[in-house]
Amino acid sequence: MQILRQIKYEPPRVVGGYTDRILRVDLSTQEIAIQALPPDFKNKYIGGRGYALKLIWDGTTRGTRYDSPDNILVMASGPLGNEPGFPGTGKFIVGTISPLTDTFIDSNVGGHFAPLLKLAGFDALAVSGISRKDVVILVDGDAGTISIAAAPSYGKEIDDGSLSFGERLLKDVNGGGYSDSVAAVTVGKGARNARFGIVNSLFYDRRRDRIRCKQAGRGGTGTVMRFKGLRAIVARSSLAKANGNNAVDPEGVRQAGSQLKEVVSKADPKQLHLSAWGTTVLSEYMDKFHLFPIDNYQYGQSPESSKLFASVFLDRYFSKKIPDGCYYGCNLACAKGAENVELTRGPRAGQKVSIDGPEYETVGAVCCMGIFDPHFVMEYNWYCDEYSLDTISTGVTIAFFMECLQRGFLTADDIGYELTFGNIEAANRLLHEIANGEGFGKVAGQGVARGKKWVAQKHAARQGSSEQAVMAELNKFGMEVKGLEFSMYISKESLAQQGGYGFALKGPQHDEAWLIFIDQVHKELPTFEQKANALKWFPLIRTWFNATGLCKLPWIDVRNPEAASTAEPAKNLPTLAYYVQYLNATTGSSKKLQDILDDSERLYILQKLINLRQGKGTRASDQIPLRAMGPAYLNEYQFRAEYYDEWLQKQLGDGKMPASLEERHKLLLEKRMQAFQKLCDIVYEEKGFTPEGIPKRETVSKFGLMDKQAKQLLDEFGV
Amino acid sequence: MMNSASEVSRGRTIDYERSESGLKIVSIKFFGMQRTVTKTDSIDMPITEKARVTDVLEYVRHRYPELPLDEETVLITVNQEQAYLDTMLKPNDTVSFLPSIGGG
Repeated sequence: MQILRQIKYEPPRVVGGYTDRILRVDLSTQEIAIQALPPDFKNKYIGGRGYALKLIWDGTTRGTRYDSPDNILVMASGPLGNEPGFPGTGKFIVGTISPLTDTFIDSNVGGHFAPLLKLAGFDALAVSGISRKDVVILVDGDAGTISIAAAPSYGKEIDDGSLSFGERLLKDVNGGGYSDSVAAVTVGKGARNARFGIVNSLFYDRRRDRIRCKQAGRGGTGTVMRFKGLRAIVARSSLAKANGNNAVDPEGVRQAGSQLKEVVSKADPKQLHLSAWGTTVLSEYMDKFHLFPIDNYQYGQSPESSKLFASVFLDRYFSKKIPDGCYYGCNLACAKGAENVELTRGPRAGQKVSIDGPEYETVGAVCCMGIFDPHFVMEYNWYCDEYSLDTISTGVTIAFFMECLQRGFLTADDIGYELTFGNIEAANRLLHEIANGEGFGKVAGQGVARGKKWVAQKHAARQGSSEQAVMAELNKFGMEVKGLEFSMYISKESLAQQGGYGFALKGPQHDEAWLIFIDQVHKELPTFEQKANALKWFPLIRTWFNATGLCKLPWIDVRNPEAASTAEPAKNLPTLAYYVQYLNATTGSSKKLQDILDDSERLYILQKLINLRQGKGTRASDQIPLRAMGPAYLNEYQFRAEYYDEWLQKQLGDGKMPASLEERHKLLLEKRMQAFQKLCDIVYEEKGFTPEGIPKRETVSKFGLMDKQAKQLLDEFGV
Repeated sequence: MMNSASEVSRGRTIDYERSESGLKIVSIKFFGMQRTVTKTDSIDMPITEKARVTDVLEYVRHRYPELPLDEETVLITVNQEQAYLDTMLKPNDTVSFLPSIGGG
């Protein structure tokens, strides 16, 4: 491998979860620098998402776009990442300015990369600039070197693929074999041609004796990496992983970890049983409660859904009895994988591949296209990973264009073929066109928000109508907010989740708030005030997980039996107590849960300021498509008429129900839109924002964020 | 089969044979890992006029003792709505025992 630039360094030791160093690489100048952080940096910004936010806030401007040289790609774990004694500590975030939203995005991902990066001496890696030629970055804690090298070439087929390229590269840098002391993040060709490119996190799994992968899927972080000319980053360290954080109180860490592991091992088999089924188990429950996003979120349930239930994947594909955790010590081990799956479509048809997944979101994305073929799910999963495409955004975007065809906004001639719901061959064709930047894939690769503009222009010109009028119609069913495509849950029947999607700072991804069950099923949030409280509390605690290097699933998807006797079981507070103990034992702090929430709120407000600066921070940017609020069209109303009629009658009280379906539909949508606006008012007040959704000065000052940039920004908005 | 015998559930006797003759039943649906134990999507249970969810829970526990149904964490629904152990049942209700789902 041709080394273009290299520095030598002495890897800083991890103490109390931190190295207090950030590795900074400028690919334009090939400058490599190690930035020592002041002591208060970690106290204020925690790690992970917090570090990425601060670096983006300080290092970019409102003019920065995903492909600007000054855009920064940040990868960071957090103080609690890298501890095999505690479940779910392999997580890190990839944060940057998104090609889809033009504002801050971060996506969390598991694997060994961030723990090894930390052991090699760095709490975070920040890459700026753009390389003229494709390069890889090598962080070798064993050799004490950091290098920028020319990206090696292994032949077109391998070079095009994120997985194929990463597997070869890992062998290449490790003497021809794999090792769990070396891991990589990589991107493939799809990330160059679509705005929703992903970053794959590759690591060696001894049990399967192969490279496995996890994905930073949302918001186009892989596209940013690819535009920087960065094909891969490799991290190596042979330091011991056990107590790798050099916790201040190792016994406290051990106790907290043991308690959580015990809850997981006892409770998970009685609950979702993620350790056996993976997240595909959710498909069945989503279908039961009309949440499965079938045909671009039109219908939540289908007689065909059972073809995509977990038992199908378990019986036909998943390797059984192999715990597939994405980092050591996680006994939830919810990732699942399959071996020797034969591809039947696409350029690799006939080849047998290993597949990591599918996760529920990928299954949801396929049903979003009206497809209920489990083998297509497997192939779609593999190709998206290999190409570096987000399975969610790819599926939602294809589904949007399918519906454009269904409703007459596009013709088959516009697309080049009959892109109809349920048409596997058409969906498959478009997937590969997106990855290759060919044919209609050039349009679809831009995502739903830009796709709407393209369709509006085309349809308006053909019909002689105004683009504005067409756009108003497309806004009903184009499932994006702030430019990001929705994750795979129908929110029509949960006002709280409508807020969960609308207010999510990165766009409608459920990692800020997933309130569907406690709102729609448990009915624990009957008032607007209770919904608002949940819409503040859950994003804050979930932010904390993304700042500390932790997976949320052992907390949120394994209910501690002791939670039943608490006032708010959904918060699973007995389990959160283990996390607080783990934090304090690792870092030496003496924080309580409220301190953690306050720390998170600082990050939340900082992210809101970045959104404001980038043009995505006001009430207008929180508005959701009509379909996210209710049945956008009559066919959806009819599908759930009993539920909608009952809901409408409740709103009307003793008032008379309109006789016609059309009138009831119209009235219901009016009521739904009113409810969402009322929710905005109450939530903004709860969060310390103005009615326009802008943080009040006292809110910004409270968290020590009123720097010069923040002052100017709030001045501009008249706050 | 338990529906031909009398069972004691929380201090009340349910005579399934008698209730079955009146054709009053509820349907119990099984999901996810539950089906690996039950080998069926659903079963019917005869009920009396005063049947409650707790009776259904006891019935299922007797029929499938290896099925893990933890009262502290299970989400009970009757006709898709959350219910509780003392919720009264009507003929043709559908009862499910679901896990908590927090949304990953």
